[in-house]
Amino acid sequence: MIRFLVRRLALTVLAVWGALSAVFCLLHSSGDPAVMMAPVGSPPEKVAQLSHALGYDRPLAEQYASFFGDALRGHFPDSLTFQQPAMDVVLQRLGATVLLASVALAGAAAAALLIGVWTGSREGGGARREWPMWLVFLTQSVPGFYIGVLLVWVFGVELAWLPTSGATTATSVLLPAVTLACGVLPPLARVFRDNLRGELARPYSRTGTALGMSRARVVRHAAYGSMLPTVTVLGLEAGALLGGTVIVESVFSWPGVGQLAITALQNQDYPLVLADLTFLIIAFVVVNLVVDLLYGVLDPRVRHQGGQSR
Amino acid sequence: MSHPRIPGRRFRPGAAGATGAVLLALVVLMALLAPVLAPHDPLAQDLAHTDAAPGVHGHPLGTDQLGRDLLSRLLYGARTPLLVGVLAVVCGGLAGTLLGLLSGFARGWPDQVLSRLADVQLALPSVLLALLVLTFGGQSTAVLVLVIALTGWPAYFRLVRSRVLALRTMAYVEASLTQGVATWRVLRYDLLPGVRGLVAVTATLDLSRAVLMEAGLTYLGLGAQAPAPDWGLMVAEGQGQLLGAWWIAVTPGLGLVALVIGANLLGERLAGRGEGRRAARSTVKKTVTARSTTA
Repeated sequence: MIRFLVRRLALTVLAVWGALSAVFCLLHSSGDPAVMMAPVGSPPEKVAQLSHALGYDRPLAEQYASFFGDALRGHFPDSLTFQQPAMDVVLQRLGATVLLASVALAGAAAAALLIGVWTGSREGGGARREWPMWLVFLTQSVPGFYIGVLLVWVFGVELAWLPTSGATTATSVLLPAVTLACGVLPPLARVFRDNLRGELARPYSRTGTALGMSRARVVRHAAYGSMLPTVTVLGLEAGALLGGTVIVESVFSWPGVGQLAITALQNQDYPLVLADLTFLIIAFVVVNLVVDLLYGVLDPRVRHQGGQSR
Repeated sequence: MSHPRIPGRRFRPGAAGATGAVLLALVVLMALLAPVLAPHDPLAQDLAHTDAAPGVHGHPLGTDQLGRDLLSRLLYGARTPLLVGVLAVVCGGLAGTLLGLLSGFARGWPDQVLSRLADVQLALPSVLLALLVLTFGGQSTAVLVLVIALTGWPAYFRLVRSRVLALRTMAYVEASLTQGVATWRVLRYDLLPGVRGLVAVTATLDLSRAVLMEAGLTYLGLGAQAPAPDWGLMVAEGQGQLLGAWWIAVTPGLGLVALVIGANLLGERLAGRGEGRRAARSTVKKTVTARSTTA
């Protein structure tokens, strides 16, 4: 367990260090970052003033050292459009993103269970049984934003059943959540289905059947056995969702952290873009760490083997 | 963005692989023959006939909000996704394969350093990283290609490295080494042929990832810029016209879907043929590699 923890934490620290270093290098790649942090069209003396205020005129090594502390404490230059600390603006939007991601994740998990049991519980059956899996295969070949646009077209414009932008009513979350869920569903459904098949082929399932257990009960026990890998993928996809939110939130103007990055970019509010993306990247790394630690709790084998050989 | 596997045993790989190859060929032909096939200039505006429905005014697929011919734009629009996708796959594939060869062959500290680097790369979210690079590192096609390649190389690296680690212990490699054959010759003639198939499979599947990423970033406004015809950009431009002129956004998306499905189907078929099948399936997708639980 200790070994597993140490390895995992070391990777997290490395990843955070790598990400922040990349941010730092990008910021300084074009000379003085104050040029981007100041409003577009600022006179040179204004930029120089800001550069001094933000400490961009100090030696690079010194800036590099203090950059980590500042970034991890959420200290970024003020947002130009909101006139307040950029990280505050980002955090105000966090709730909407968490809501959207949770709904999408729950929906994807439910759909994966249904599809997995439907296609995995029985051998044979051909296209009549396999078609949901084909649909899943199709889904992963369609760009997320295109799924979103198609949903807007069908359910928002042609049928006019659901709102297509913003977060005005309770049903606003449906279309973006479905779009986001489509991105997570394929790996989930597949891992559950494959494991269910595997479990059904194991001796305990055969014994159950031989003893006269109903098919539904055998499948239920096999489903418990397939939960662990499914939960792992679910957790991993929770991290991946953060990346997906940028595109999906933009399609539906969902007022979350992802859409904020893109609107800030369009408004040339670079301090806000910087704070937003740094926040999302660090959040991604941390979510993945938590999932891995949870996995160690769920599966004792990980703790005892040091989580290395697997 | 996830990588594909064939759903179910009943999915006949022969037919699927052929379909994939045909779809890919179709998209390549569209891109190459665009100047011959396009009925109009993809940039020529006709403000008298904006948002025309498919089939009217001599526009087989209709026109967009500026009266530009959609068929012509669809044909030319294949070029950027295909070019960026292929270049990104070539760059990422080359880097990943070379580093993987070195890492697996040299072992020791170079292997440690490169492996940790790949771990870090995989631990970072690719789309967010790309947004960051494109915002603060400059927006251009070259940067777009590089950033997509950057998020793709670890897949090749891991596969090639583990295969080379295994090949190194084989008698014919040992024989070359004890005879004092130059290192580069061992790499080139003993090890590279052993990983070629694996790399080809990974590259085909990686093409779909690269195209999806290019399209997503372009949709967000960080790829090709208006008025250039590009499928991702065309969907974004058409989104405002869904009410009344749905074809503007829907048609170019179909091109993207054809390209990605083509790459996925063909990649699957190739993966199914070689012995690289299991490795490619489990390692291409980082979820499965990081904690492979399905085994």
